Amino acid sequence: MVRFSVGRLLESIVVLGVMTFVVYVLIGLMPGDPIDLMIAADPNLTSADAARLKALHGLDKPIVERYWNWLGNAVQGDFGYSRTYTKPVLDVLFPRLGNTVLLMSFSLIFALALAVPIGIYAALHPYSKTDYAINLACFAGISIPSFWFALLCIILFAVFFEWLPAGGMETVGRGDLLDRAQYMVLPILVLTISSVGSFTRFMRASMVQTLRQDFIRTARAKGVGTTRLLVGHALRNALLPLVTVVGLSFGNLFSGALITEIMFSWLGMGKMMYDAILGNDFNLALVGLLFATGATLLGNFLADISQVVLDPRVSFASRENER
Amino acid sequence: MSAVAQPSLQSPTRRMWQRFLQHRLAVCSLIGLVFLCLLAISAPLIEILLGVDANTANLFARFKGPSLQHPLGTDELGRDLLLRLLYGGQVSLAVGIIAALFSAIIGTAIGLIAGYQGGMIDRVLMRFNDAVIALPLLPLLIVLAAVDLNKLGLPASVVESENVSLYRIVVIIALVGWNTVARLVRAETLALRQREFVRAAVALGAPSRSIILRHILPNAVSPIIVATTLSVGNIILFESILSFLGLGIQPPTASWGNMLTNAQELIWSAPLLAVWPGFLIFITVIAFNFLGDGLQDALDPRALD
Repeated sequence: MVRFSVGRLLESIVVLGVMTFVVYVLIGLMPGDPIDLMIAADPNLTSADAARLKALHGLDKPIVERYWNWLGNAVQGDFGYSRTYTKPVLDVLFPRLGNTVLLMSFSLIFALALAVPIGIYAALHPYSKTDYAINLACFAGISIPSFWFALLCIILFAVFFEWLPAGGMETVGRGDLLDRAQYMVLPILVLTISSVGSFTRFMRASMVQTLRQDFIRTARAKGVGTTRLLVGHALRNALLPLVTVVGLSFGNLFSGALITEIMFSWLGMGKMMYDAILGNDFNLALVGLLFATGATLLGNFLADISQVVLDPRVSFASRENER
Repeated sequence: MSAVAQPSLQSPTRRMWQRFLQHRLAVCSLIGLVFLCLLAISAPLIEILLGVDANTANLFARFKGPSLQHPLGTDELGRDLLLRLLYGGQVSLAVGIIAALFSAIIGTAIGLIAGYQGGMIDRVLMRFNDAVIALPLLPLLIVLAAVDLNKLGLPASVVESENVSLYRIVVIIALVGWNTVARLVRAETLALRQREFVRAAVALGAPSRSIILRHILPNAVSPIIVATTLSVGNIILFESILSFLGLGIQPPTASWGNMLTNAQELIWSAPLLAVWPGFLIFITVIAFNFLGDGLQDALDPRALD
């Protein structure tokens, strides 16, 4: 078990390492460079000043050397300064990260709270009218463009009914719990809808498969009551694949959070990354992107490990032979 | 001649077709998509019939309601909404289908090589595949869409051409979208490599290239078709998000995504402008997803639960 986990962890770290380089190069390929932006902002700068500044910040060196310097500083915890916020990058990142985690965890909880019972219900009544309707709704949830859904919600609830705020984090001057909760309703709704469809479909498929197995028939033959059979026997097994899917959906959840945060001006990490990329805030964009990658890799890693830990039938040896 | 009584008389193609027809949503989706494509292609014809030009702004006719000349009304610059939707549809559908085909080609090539060669090549390619799957796709696409093409050293004729935003979005989506097909094709190749007819071909001394192309690829086509159909929907979603954020298809070329960018600022005055483009994206994506689901039932009955 330890060997498998360590190997898998090392693999993730290698991927993250490669990604730092790829992302560094990509960010370097974005239009403009920090010194050009300074020149544009301050007409008193001469070209000699610019050259001196470039040398000072190491921008006259080849990209591989710059990357190496950056990596050296990064492993010591120094990710540089954000150009737009004039603060160390991590000081900008952490509060934003908190807001994103808030949004993501609430919507994950709601999505699972909906997906598990609905998926089970559909699995218990396969090919019924309700199952058909649930399947249709799942496809609709998967296919709806989340930014459009967000727009519709804003039009309906903020413009038309004026029940909820159209975006932001809190009303200036209020900011109590109830006020902040109002600002969270629509973003959480949009993010929940974007993931609940695939979770439900997975739950249904996994439950249908479990119910078909011999031990369920045995339990039923023994006279185990329906509730006990479902909760005690079937559900425990059917939930296993869902755990993996949730772990693997981290990347999607990040993408969803990004667009949702932009739509509702929610000051989270996704919006921060987007603003940083568009605003040529290289250090911030770089760290935001790497952080998202790291979190996604961690989700995948946990999904892999949990599968083996939770299901004794999947041995580490068999997992290793597979690869 | 019913299907139950004499199943042996039916060709596999016919049985596939019948399984497909049973998936009513998929059939409806296929009809809907064909209709939508035809409508989008015939946009110039409709332009002539209505006697209006799709790209000419008319500031005296902004936000007009539906009329005979403008069946869906006009937008914030007085352009005909229906025509913009159809031209936007051309772009969105073309990007979705072409990018899906490119990713399918890349994915098939990688999957075939990894599955057939095995060993170190397989391990490296599959780790690479895992890594691409693990990436947060949307942030990465945004960075890729923001890359300055001049810094890549591309010739100016390409960078300044009118359709550069179209090419670029197809390329970046194909670059990150190949992994599902690669994984499926590899699995299929691994299974096929053990089959008698492939081993017989190897024993007869057939070159690898012809074994892969003649014996393995034709038998691995089903999962490729299913995965590619399903990916068209996703790609249209990503294209619309990028265009909506101003990083995809650039105005004045219409796409469903960038039509929503302007509509977003006008939700207080003209909320209906935000409804149509999004609705078409939604309908198209859901249709491709149903179509993929139906094709899976038809082509790959083992996957049925």
